[in-house]
Amino acid sequence: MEGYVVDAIPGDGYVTLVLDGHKAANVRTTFPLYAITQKPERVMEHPDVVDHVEEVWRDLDGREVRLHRFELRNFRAYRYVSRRVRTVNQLPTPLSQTLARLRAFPFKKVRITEGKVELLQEDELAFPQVKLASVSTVDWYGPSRWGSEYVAVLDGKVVRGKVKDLKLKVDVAECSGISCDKIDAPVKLRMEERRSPVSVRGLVEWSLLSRTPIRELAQATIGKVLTTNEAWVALSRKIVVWDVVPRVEKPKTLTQLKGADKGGLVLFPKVGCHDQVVQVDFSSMYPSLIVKYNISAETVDACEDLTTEIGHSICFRERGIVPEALSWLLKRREALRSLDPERAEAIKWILVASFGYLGYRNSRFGRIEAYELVTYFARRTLRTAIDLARELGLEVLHGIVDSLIVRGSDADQFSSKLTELTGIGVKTEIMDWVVLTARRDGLPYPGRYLGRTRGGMKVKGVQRSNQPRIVQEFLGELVELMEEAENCSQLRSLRGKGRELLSKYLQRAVSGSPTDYVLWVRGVPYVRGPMGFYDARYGYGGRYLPYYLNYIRRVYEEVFGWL
Amino acid sequence: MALTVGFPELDSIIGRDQLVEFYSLDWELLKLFYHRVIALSAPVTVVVVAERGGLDPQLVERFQRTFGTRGEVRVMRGFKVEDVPPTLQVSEEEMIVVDPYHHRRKYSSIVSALRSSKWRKFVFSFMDRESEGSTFGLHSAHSVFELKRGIGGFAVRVVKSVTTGELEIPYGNWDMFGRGDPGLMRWLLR
Repeated sequence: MEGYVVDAIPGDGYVTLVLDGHKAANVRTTFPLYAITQKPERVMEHPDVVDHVEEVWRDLDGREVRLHRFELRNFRAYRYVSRRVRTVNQLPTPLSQTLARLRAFPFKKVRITEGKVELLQEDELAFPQVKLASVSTVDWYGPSRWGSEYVAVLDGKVVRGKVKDLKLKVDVAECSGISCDKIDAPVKLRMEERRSPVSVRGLVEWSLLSRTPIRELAQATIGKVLTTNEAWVALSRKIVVWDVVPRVEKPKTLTQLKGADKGGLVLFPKVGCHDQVVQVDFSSMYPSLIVKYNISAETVDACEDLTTEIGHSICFRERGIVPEALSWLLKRREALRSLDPERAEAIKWILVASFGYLGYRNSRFGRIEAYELVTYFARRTLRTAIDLARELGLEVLHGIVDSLIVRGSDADQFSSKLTELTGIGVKTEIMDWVVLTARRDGLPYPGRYLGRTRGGMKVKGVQRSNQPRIVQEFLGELVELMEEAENCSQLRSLRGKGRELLSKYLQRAVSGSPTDYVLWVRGVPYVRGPMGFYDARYGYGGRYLPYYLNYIRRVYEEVFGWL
Repeated sequence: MALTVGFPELDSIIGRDQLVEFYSLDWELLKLFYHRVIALSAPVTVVVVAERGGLDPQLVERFQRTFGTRGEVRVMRGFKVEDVPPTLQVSEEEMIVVDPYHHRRKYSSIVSALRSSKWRKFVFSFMDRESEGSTFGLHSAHSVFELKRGIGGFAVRVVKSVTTGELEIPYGNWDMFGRGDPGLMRWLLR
C-alpha cells in the first residue's frame, strides 16, 4: 500500500496509519515515554510497559541528566505513568516521536508492506498529493456555524450552495458548523476551534515541517509548531526538553535595564507625499539576526565570544538550538516564496513568532536576555542602514524596525552595499510615490503609509479587519482610485474624485444593506445600534447612523488628510 | 543603605524586622510607594514579579532626584511563577520584592524562598492579604502594613507588628514625595 500519511491513530501495540484516498494500515509499534525516576522498576510493574532503557542526556546548560526511556503499548499507559513520574521530552508529541521512529512522517509518501513502513523519496518542496477542502457555512452577516449555506474552496476553486446539498469526500477538510457532518474525510479540522492564522494548506505545511500529525496542530498556536521544530533539534542532540524551565535573570542596573528593555527602532516619518522613493526591507530580519548571531537561551552569556553594549554576551562555540531550527525554516521559506506563496506565508508566521517566543515566559528555548539581544542587533542594523544611506547621499524619509524608505539616485547601490555590510538579505521596492501620514494632532504617525509600487498599491495601517464592511469597501475603492496617480501632483488632483467617492459612501451608509454595518471583533459579528454594539448573530436590529458616517469621514481624513 | 520607607514613624515600627510586607488593592498607590522605597533604600536589589512592566526606572530616578539619593538599583525580573523561588534565593543582600504572589500559585515555595535567605526583605503585594491567602506567608512576615487611599492622601494601617498594636497613620499626597507640610496645623499648634 502506498500513499501520503494523512493521519495516525494510536492503538494497543500498533498505530493505524491513514493514507490519502481513505486507505489505512496498522503498523506494530510501542510508544516512548521519557521519565526521571529513582524507581524505574515501579513503572515496569505496569502491565502495558514493555521495556525500559536508561539513557544519558544533557540539559541546556550542559549538565548530565539520567533519563529512563519506557516503551509503552498504548496511550492509556502513557497518561497513567506520566501523571505519576516526572515525564520529560513531551514535545515533540509522543505520537510524532513514534511516527519519526517508524519513518512515517505526516504528509510524506510511504509504502507499507507486511507492517513495515518504507519512506519514499520525493522532492523536499513538493506538496503532498492529497485532497484538501475548506468549507465554511455562512449567514447574512458572514461566516457562521449556524448558516444554512456554504462556501467551499476545493483545489483553489470556490463553490457555493446549500448545506443540505453538500456532499464531499476529501483527505483533509477544514469545516465549520453542520457542514462538518456532510463531509467524508479522515481528518476534519473545526474552524471554530482553530487558533492559528493559516489556511488548511498552511496547516499541512506546518504538519510537514514540524513532523506532527495535522490533528494535533488543529487547535495549536504558532508557538507549538515553532517549539516542536526546536524540540526536534534538541532531541537529535540528546538535550532534554523540559515542560517548564525556571530562569533567573542576571541583575541589571536601571541604566542597563533602560538600554536593553527596548523594541526596534522607529523613526518619525517626514509627513506628506514624496515622489520616486525606494523602500528597502530586510527579509526576515529578526530570524536572520538570531541565526547570524547564534542567539539562543544556551548561547547567551555562556562565554564572551561577542560582547555587547547592553551587557550580554554570545558564545559561538556551539550552534544554538533556536538558530539551527530557524535557519532551516528560513531556507525553506526562500525556496517556497516563488513556488507556493501560501505555504511560504505559513512559514513566515512561524518566523514572525520566533522572535517574540524568545522572550515569552513559558518558552522552552527562550530567555529574556536572548530577546533583548535580538532587539539590540535590530536597532544597530537599522542604524547602520541609515548611516549608509546618508553616506550615499540618500534622504531617509521613514524607518520602521526592518524597513527604510529613502529617496535619491543611488538606491540600487544602497541595497547591495547594505546586504554586504549587514549580511542580511534586502528586498528593494521602487515606489512612484508614497504618502506618509500624520495623526489628528499633527504629529507624524509611523505606522501608516500608502505607496504605489510596480506591483500595485502598498497600504499599511489603514485597513483593519475590525472595520465595518462599508468602511473596508470604501477604503478599498479609495486605494484603487489613488493607484491611478503616477505622481504626487496627480494624486493631489484626485481629491475631487475622492470627495465624490466619500459622498457616495456617505449616501450608502444612510441606505445600506444590513451586511454593510457588520464589523468583526474576535470572531464575533457586531453592529453598532442606537443603544451600543450588539451581536449580529441574534438578528439585525438597526444601526446608529452617526457612528458609520463619522467612521467613513474619519478614514477619509486619515488617507487624504495630508493634502 | 539599609531598607527604609522614609517615614520615621513607620521605620521605627519596622525596626530591624527581617520580613516586612506591604499590601494594597490600590495598584497606583502601591506602585508609587515601592518606587519611593526603592529610591530611598538604594543601593538595593529589586525582584519584580510580573509578566510585563512593574518597575518604572524613570520614576525611581525621579524619586532619587527628589530625595537626593544616588545608590545603585539592581533589578531582577521573574516572569513566570517557576522563576520566582530561584530568583529570590540567588540574591545575597537586602532585597525589595514586588508582587511575589502575582501568579496566585505556588505560594508555599515562594514563602519558603522568602524565608530561606537570611537577608532583610520588604515585600509589596498587590492583593488583600486579609481575604486572599492569609494562611501563607503572613505568619512569616514580622510586620504587615496595609496601604489605603484616602481623601487628599493615603493611610498606612499596621496589621501586624511586634512592637505596636493595630493603628492607622494618615499621610498627605505630598508626603509621598517628601514635600509634606503641616498646613494649618503649623499655626494651630504654635
